[in-house]
Amino acid sequence: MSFTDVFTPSVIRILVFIVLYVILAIVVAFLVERSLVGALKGLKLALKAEFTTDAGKLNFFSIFFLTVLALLFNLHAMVSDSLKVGQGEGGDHVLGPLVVVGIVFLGSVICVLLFERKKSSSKE
Amino acid sequence: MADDTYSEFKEEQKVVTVLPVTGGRVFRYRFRRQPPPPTYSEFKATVEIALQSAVETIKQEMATQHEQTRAEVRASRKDVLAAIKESPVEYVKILAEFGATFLIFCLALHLLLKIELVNTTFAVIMLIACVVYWGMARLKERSANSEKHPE
Repeated sequence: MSFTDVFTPSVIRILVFIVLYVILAIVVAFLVERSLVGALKGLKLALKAEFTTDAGKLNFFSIFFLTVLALLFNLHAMVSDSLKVGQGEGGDHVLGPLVVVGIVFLGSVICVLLFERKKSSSKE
Repeated sequence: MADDTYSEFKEEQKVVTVLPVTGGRVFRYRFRRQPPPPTYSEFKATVEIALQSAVETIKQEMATQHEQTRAEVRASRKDVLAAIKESPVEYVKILAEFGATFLIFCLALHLLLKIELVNTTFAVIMLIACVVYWGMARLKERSANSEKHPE
């Protein structure tokens, strides 16, 4: 198995998206916390709260439910086709829905981050 | 009469059994009559009662959690509104910053992955608009500060 076998164009595209996504998450958390260390700590706290608090769980399960519905009714193909620029690479129905779900999940995480920040500031 | 004696003898034989043990000690072992197994209707009624109570508990728990979440959201909304009223400049600034970040992300996706989340022309125009909004808010903040603290 050579290097090119593992890193196919689809895998490279997904890796590029993950890098961009992580940068976006850190920048957004930075805008909330106004410091890099605070942003990283805030993201960690928000990811934990996403699966433990009521609001986080509600958001997460709604995203999960929407994703299952999209897969069930074959909406992911429609989403990826509608997001594709020009003729592009055909047959890749992973990245488009991943981008949409990722952005919705990031929004949920930031909402939970704001909740948790408010709670911690009110406790102090 | 003989029948009665026989039935009494049989009943006693059923209930009490003498078990000889070494050393001349004798244990009397009395069989207990097992309660009859519940009928299907009794079993069904028991299960239904248990399920109803479980459903009621879950409903109450869900309603409590729902109210709690709503209260949290309401309180946060009030806080956000209060913060906007207190400092509209900060609100415009953070809105412009979030918008610009998202639009830059969309443009990066468009350039690198050929995925168009937002129309490119619209994204560029809105990016410029966000920068202008941010600059205006910053200018307003500076002028307010200079009015408060004239040197």
